[in-house]
Parts: sequence; structure tokens; C-alpha cells
Amino acid sequence: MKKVFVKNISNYERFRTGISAVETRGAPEASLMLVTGPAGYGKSQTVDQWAVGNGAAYLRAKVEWTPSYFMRELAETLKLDSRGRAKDVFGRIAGVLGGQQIPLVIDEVEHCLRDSAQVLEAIRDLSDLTEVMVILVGMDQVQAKIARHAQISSRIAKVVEFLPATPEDVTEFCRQLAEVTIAPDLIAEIHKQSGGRVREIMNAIATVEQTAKRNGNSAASLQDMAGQVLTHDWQARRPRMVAPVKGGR
Amino acid sequence: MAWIAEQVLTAIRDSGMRECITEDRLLELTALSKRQVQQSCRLLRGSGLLEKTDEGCHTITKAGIEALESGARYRSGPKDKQHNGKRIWKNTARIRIWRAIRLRRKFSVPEIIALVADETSGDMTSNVQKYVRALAKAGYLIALPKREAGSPLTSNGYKRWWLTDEKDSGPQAPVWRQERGTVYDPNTKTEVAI
Repeated sequence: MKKVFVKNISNYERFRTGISAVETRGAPEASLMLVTGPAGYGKSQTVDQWAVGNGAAYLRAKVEWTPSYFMRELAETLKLDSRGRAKDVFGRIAGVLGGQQIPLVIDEVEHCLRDSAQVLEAIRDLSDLTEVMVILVGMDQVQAKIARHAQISSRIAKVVEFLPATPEDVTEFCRQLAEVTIAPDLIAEIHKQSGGRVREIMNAIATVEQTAKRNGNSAASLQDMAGQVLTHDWQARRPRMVAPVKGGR
Repeated sequence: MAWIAEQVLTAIRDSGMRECITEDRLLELTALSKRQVQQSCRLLRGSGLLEKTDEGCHTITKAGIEALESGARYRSGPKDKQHNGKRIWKNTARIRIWRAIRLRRKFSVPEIIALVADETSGDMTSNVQKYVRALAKAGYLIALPKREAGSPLTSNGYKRWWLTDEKDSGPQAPVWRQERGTVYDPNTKTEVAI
């Protein structure tokens, strides 16, 4: 399986549109973007790829984060002196982020919400001062939780929701990632079984590719995968088999 | 005295910024030679301030109009952001690879490729492998004992690497100087032989 980042998909398009909306925002202080969606829809991979391409400072929030712990960790990521008073550390960070306009990405933002969202307030202070773009990534419930804090939610210029991959998206994944040609009927089966979850789509493509290569084929259809395990149903804790095609070989 | 390309831009502004201006007309408006006008138009096109709409015919772009209105001056030299005469930001493949390594900390080469490569970037496997090997030899990366399973049938899997906090020297990518056999770290300004 090829290792590339697939861009021509609906979630990535929505993400790109969101970035453009924040970049062209009217109010300079509204520089936050919230990316939400259930696990497995490709949020983190998309944001990680964007962070790498744009030289963003990236942090994964931790359960134990307090405003000073967050500041210290951000200073260490930027290779700044993290010692001294919180005010001094904040000043050093703001100087670098604002001066070089380095965007900030906070993954698993749920962990920033405890104790009246003190960590998010610190992030808001930083974004107000530096006007750099801040991307917050979290699960789908996080939007409602952030909405309780008006000071923060008013700074969110755009919310991007990651949705299940569409049949067209699955076709694009198969076209760009698979080293064998995958037939439309098998693509439809991958879409059905994966429920549009990117991780499962990737696993299914790897399985199809292995089977095709083992049999010396350069293409695979639904009939070729009959009786094989394509994905795993983690809720029912059992593998999902491909049903034999009626009238097939 | 204004730079040559700047003279051409000013001449376009003074001519009333018509839809299309020919090189012959620019020759009349400026005291420049044909070669100078042609070269200036080429430079301005390269900067996105002018576009060629027909043979010898140029139209000023939106960026060109904005540049003229804001009084921006056209100068030769590097176009990237500068700091004390040095480029402060580039988005080369190696820089993106280093950023991806810092982001992931524990990784395999395919994981890094998935973050830095897209459909248009071509096969980056060799580039990433060479850079990762150079960083490992220079002591930045530690090889982890367990390999990641590979998807091909006969794959031995992929080696996993670890960038420890102590070895993460900063946001600027260490430079592998192949001909000298060293890795130069712009964060610490040190050079390590490999």
C-alpha cells in the first residue's frame, strides 16, 4: 500500500475551506478553529499533515494539564526557556508565536475543559494577543461543552465537522493508496463495512492488496474477496466476512 | 534611480493601466532597451505582478495593481522572508520531515511519508530513509527493538525510531551535509560527524 496523504476527499475539502475562512476573518481576535468528529474519521491525520506543512506548534493535551503546565510544554516545544514566573513564560511564548506568526494546534482539546476551562482561557489569551491561528481538535461532544464558555466560543471563527467518508472518498482512497486496481463493487463493500472510518478503509485496502498479490492478481473484485475477512467489527468483537456473490465463480 | 523593473511598473501605472500593454508601447514610455523591457516583463511575470495575455502583450494582475497602489517597490534579490540577510522560513522536504518527526516522536518511515507526501510529491521513501539514517547516526534517533508490521506479504516490517526530548534540539531541521559526512544543527549551531 502506498503511503501518501489523500487530499481529494470531502473532509479535507471542508478543512481547507475552514482554514481559508479563518485566514480571511473579519475580527482579528476570532482566530480559533474547532475541528470535531468521532474517532477514526481522519481528524488527527489531517491536522497533523497541515501542522507539518505549515510549521505549526503542535501539542496533544493531557489530562493533567493546568495553565502553567500547558505553558511550560508549549515553551519546550518552541525550545524556549520554560523556567521562571508564568507571566515571563507567557511573554516569551507570545513573542515567538506572534513575531513569527506560528499557528498553534491543540489535539484532544477535551482535556483543556476541566476546572472551568482554565487551559482554554490561557489559549484564548495567547490567541488574542498574538492573533495567530489556533486549531482545536476534539471529539464531537466538545463543541457543546465549549459553547458553555461564551468568552471562548465567541473566538471560534469556524467549526469543521469530520463526517464518515463518502463512496467517492473511498474510491479516491482506493485509487491513490492501493497498488492493485479495486473494482467498484468491492469499493462499495469497503464503504459499507467500514462505515466511512478512515482507519478501517486503510485496513481493508491492505487486506485486499495482500489477497490480490498472494493470488498473483493485479486487480480485485468483490468475488475475489468472497469468504475473506475485510474489516473487524470491534463492537461485536468479530470479523466481518465478505459474503459470496450470487452467480459468481 | 529606480530599478529597471520598477521603471516598467511605473510606466504601466502612468499609462493608465489599460487592459493590455505591449512591449513596443513600454519601449516608447521608458528610455529602456528592448532587452531590458523584455527581461523586466519576465521578472514581473515571475513575481505575479504581470501576466502575458498575447504575443508581446501584457496585462497587469490584481497583485500588480495592489503593489502599485500600496507603493510597493520592486527590488532584485531573494523573495523569501529575511532575517539579518538570512532566509528564516522554507518549506523544503527535509524541513517537513523534521517537523513530522518532532510531531510523532516515535515513528516508522512510512508514517512520516504519509505526513509529508501527497499525490504530487512523488516517491519520498528514499529521501526520508536517508535523512532518518543520517539523524540516527548523528545520535538524534534511537532505534526501537520492536518493528512495525508491514502490509506486503513478504515484508520484514518497518524499523521504528524514537526522538527523545533531550535530542529534540528545536524547530529548525538539522542539515545532513553529505559531502562533509556531518549533520549540522542550526538550533544549537553544532556539527556532528557521522
